[in-house]
Amino acid sequence: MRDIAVLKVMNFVKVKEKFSGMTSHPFFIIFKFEIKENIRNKWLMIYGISFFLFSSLIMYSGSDTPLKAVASELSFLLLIVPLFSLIFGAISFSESFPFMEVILARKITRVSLYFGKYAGLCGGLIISFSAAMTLSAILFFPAETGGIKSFSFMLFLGIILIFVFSAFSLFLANYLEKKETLIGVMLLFWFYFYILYDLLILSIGSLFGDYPIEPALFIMIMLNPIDIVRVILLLHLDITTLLGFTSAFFQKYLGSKLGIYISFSMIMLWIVLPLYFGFRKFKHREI
Amino acid sequence: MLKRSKIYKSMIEFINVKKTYGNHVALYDINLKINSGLIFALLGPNGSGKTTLLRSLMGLAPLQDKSEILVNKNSIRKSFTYRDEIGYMPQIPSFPRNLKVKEIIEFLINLTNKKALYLNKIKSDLGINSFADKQFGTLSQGMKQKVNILQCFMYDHNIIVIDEPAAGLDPQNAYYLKNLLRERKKRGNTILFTTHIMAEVEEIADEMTVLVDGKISVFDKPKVFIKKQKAKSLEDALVKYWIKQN
Repeated sequence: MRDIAVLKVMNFVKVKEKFSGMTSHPFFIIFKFEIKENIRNKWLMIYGISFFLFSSLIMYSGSDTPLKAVASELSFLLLIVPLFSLIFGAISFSESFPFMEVILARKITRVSLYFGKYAGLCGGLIISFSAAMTLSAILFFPAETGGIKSFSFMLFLGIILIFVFSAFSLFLANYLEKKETLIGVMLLFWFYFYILYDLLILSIGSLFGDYPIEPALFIMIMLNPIDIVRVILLLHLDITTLLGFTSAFFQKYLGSKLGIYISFSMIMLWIVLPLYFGFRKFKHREI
Repeated sequence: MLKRSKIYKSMIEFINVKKTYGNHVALYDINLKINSGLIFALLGPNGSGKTTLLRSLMGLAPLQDKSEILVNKNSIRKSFTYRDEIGYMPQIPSFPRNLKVKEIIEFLINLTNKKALYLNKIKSDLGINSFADKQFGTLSQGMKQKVNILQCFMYDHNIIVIDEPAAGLDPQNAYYLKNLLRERKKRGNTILFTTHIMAEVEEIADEMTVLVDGKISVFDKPKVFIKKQKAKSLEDALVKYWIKQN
């Protein structure tokens, strides 16, 4: 018994040492540093406070059931989270280039720096977003047990959107050096994904509504991360009747396990591809 | 390239370093050897390519074509570990505004495996302890430059690279920095700095090169060059040299 206890302690010490070794890796050092810097950023604080206030207002005014509360919150979340992630991410990344000179003058790879900054950016945004949402939910979310699951799922999807649009922000910040151009393109990007794309889907739906366009709509939805998140959440809340005639199609395909796996795989692609192409540019660009 | 009377062990070697930005050529096949234990000045007007050359050495500007830079005979293309030997002080200290000075220094120390041997001494000399708890964004320009000096000189690097050392430094800090450079040179460190201030070069540099429009125009020791041109100062010497060239 004593030998087993000694072995367990030795294993624990080995695991602890390995973990300490990992956290002293430059990626983790940069990640922790970025989070610390971001959470002290006044714009992130303003974002968190504003999100809390508007979220509370939405939950307080007219959301007497969890379903209504989440559905109301969804529109606000899909509007603000991608927009702020894009702009904050791009500006903070491009403004950090002078300090990157000092970091890269040390024995640090561009891989550790890029992905450490990405993780730190996402970390800061997630902390601000989650704190705001959770606090407003604690105060104003309708107190029903089923609601907690729906709210948590919405929070999770909001975090996914942060990962997606932060990846995009870094990708675009690597290609566009002028800040005015960068902000302009960010806004166009958001406008395209949040408004234009849905107008396009609506137009196709109304023009070709008499034809079996569900497969085409499915593909089109997969090509917009905001729409993927919207449809996944609506399916989860079981209010796909809002989607009209296509609800049966989405329930059949996206509601199934395969549909969910495809949706999340597409979301992963929306994170991985911008990160990959952004890093490819970063690796060879002048700092 | 001018010949030397003695042969030293080469510390930094630039071989056919060329750098273009679109149609603009910033550096034209620069060939330069900087020996160990010297203070070497890179002179030139704005836009001459001094900072580009420095940044190429630091890996901040990727090398193009057949350009090569060797640090202690090792190519910087093959490994980035040479940066462990180099301390770099950029011209403008742009550190994170929301973080305290001590947090920034702690972060930079954690990123480096080496021990910051001179941390406490330089902090004490420059009075950094009095504002170590302040956010970087709230510091005056002089205080920011002190932090910049600390982050570069707190280690015992073999090579120190400084971009425009006098920029933004008040006379007191400038004096301190020059003494620091002389001290490090006595220890056998190699120092490379860019400047367009002739007086700095005259005062502390052992060797210098003048870059004009991306090409090496002059390569010599400052005092020898002044004597050759029969001038009173380096500025006079350069003016006389360019008049002769034209």
